[in-house]
Order: sequence, then C-alpha cells, then structure tokens
Amino acid sequence: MNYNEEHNFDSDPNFSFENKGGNPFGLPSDYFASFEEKVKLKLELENELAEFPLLKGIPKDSVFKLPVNYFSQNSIEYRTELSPYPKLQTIKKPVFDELEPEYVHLLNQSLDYKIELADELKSYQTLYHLDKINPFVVTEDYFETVASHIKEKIYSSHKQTVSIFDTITEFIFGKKTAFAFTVIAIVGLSIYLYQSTKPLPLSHCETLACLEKQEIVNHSSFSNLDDDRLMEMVNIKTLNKQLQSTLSQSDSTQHEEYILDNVNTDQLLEEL
Amino acid sequence: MQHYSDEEILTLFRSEESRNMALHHLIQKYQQKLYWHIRKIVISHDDTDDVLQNTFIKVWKGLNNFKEESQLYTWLYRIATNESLTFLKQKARANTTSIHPIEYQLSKSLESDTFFSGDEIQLKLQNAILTLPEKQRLVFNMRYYDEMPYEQMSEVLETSVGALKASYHIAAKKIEDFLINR
Repeated sequence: MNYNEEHNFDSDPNFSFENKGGNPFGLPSDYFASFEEKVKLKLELENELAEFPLLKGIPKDSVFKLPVNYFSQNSIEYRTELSPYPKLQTIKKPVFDELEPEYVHLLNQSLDYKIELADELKSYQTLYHLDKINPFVVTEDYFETVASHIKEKIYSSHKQTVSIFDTITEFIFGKKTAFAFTVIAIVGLSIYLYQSTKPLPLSHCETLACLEKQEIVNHSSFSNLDDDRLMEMVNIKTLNKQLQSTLSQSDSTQHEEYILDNVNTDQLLEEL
Repeated sequence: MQHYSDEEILTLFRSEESRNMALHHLIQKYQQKLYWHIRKIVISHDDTDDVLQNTFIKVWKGLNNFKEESQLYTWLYRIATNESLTFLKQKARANTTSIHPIEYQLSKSLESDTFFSGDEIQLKLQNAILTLPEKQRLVFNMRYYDEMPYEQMSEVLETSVGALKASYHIAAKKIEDFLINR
C-alpha cells in the first residue's frame, strides 16, 4: 500500500489512488461497469413516474435548507479527526472546478442516448436482460504492438513504390502518359485517314475501265462528273460485250446510239 | 491518453514533416474501435489483424483524396466494413472444399477460438448473429454493441435511416427467436 492509501480517504470508495498517472483522482473500479445499470435504473424510475403525470411535473428540487456554516463545522470536526495524522493534514484538499457547460450538455446528450438505446432494446426481452459484454479477447499486448506493425507495413509498401522500376512503370503506365499517347494516336490516325481519302488525280486515267471499282466508288469527285465526261471515259466495246446478253442489236453504231438513248448514268454506274 | 481531434490529425497529415505523426495519432485513436468492429464481422483474431492492417494501409493511401464531406470516423468505418466483407468473400471463394456457407464456418471457428471468452449464452448470441444476412448482421452489431446512432450508421452503410431501423428490428427479432427456440 502506498503512502496516500495509508493516510487518506481509504474509507471513501470513490477516491482511489490506484491511478499513478499524476492525477490524484481515481474512479471506483466498477464505475464504467455499473454505469449502464445506473442508466437503466434511472430509466426505470422515469417510467415509474410516467404513470403519475402530476408528480412528474413537480421539479425535484430540495426544499430543505442547511444552517449557515454547517459544512464548515463538519470540516472542523474532520480536521480534529485528522490531528493524529499530521502528514495527511499537510495534503491540500482538492478544489473542484465547476463543470464546463459543454461537458454537462454532452453528458446529458449521452445519457439521453443511453436511455433511447435501452428503450429500443426493451421490446426484445431476452436481449434486454442479457449482459452486453464483448466476448472476444485479444492478446495482452496486442494494441501496444499492432500500431508498429501497421506503420512498418505502410512504410514498406511506400518504399516499394519509390523504386526506379516502379517510377519507370508508373511513368509509362501513368495517367498522363496514357493521355498523351491517346492524343498522339488520335491525331496520327486522323492525319492518316485524311491523307488516304484525298482524291486521286484523274490525269493518268482516261477511261473508267482503268480504274478499280473501289477507287471509283471511293472517289469523292465521282458524282461531280457530267454525263458526257462519263461517256468519254467508258470503253464502249467492253461495255458492249457485257450488255450483249440483254440486247438483241448487234450493230455497234446502233448499239452505241441505243446506249446513248436508253442507258442513263445510274445504269452505267451499276454496270461498272 | 489524450487523442487528437480528426481536424488536428488531418492538419498534421497535410504537412510533409508531420505526416508520420499524423499516422501515429490516427492509428492510436482508431485502432481499437476499428479492431472490434472488424472482429465482430470476421470473428477470428488473426483474420481481424490482417484486415485491420489492410484497412489502415488503404486509409493511409486514400487520405490524400479524403474530401471531408463526411466525418473521418465514418469514412474509416466504411473502409473497415468493406475490407471485412471483401475478406469474407475471398475466404468463401478460397475455401472450395467446404460445402457449408461462410457463416457456418465462422460459427464453427468461434467454438474453437481461444480468443473467445464468452459463456454459453454469449456463444449462443454470437451464433444467432451469425445466422443473420450480411447487412442485418452489420446493422445489429453496430447498433447493439457499438451503440452507433442511426444517422452515423446511415453514412457508413449508405442506407437510409428508416431502412436501418427496419433491419435492426428484423435482426433483433430473429435473434430473440433463435435464443428462445433453439
């Protein structure tokens, strides 16, 4: 037992000196364990009172007053009691500050919430009467060591990403590089396609027969040709042979005239 | 131990010099909360340890992109939840030898778990929780054990408050039935 426990407050269960962290105030060992019970009790009392609305409406203030200096007289008695313990008398009694309003507000909120939770659980009688304990356990020093393990893992993964290989990979497969490559590819393809659809010069080809069908179809200025120009470009003899089966006339002159009279541009195109 | 506020941790993180300190405070502040949240989902301590580490790694890598539209706490919970569920799915996929669903396997592992200190009724409660569908299990654990407000839970699970209340009610009812009838 330490010095303070020998000489001070050991009759007060709410004033423990087990806390050695520089703060002389402790808590009853079961404070947090019994906290929920206290809340449940409070709730029970409230529910009891709910049946008596009139009584509930009366503020629960103390109407009794104390004689002046009542507690200071007690204090004198207390000091007398302490006289056999001079060392204890030298310990300054703690002066408690008034609680901060924010703390009181939060405490109220927290109590209300506890009550709400308890209320909610009341509908499930088995669960309500069950002790809400965490049945899972961890090794004694787990939480002291886990932080260092996590940090180690994070730093090691971080180190890996700054290696030269990763930097190069990141550069090659990085978002910016991918975007740049995409833009270059789109521009390149557009230029290539534009070049490939450029109209072919017709100066070297006097007749349509020397042109590939596909070239003719792809030729953008094809539709701009007038009928006379088209007729000039067509090899009549070849065309004649192709039309032989459908036409009865053999005379080439007649044939030519027939073609000129009866075959229009569309039919010619179709034949080609 | 006095924990730093989320704002303080984020401020530390934004500066290159204090980034490591931010990591330290982040882990110190949230390791226990996240551990117990994950533990109730994946059950085994070793699995929880893995998932917890992965969660913090993911958090650390993603903290740069954290938009502060939600609270840091709910963001961390969301990542931990997703990591845990992904882990369970991977575990179920990897375990091709068993014909039983993952919940049954978790229940069996609970019985032989040396890091489980509950008595018979606690074991029964855990088994009852493990019979619930994934979402109901999450909601029940978060409400019953973590006592999380529905509004916060709604942010974590991206579900409406009404749906969460209904889920909790159904889950609690099923657990009651399990505890009484089995």
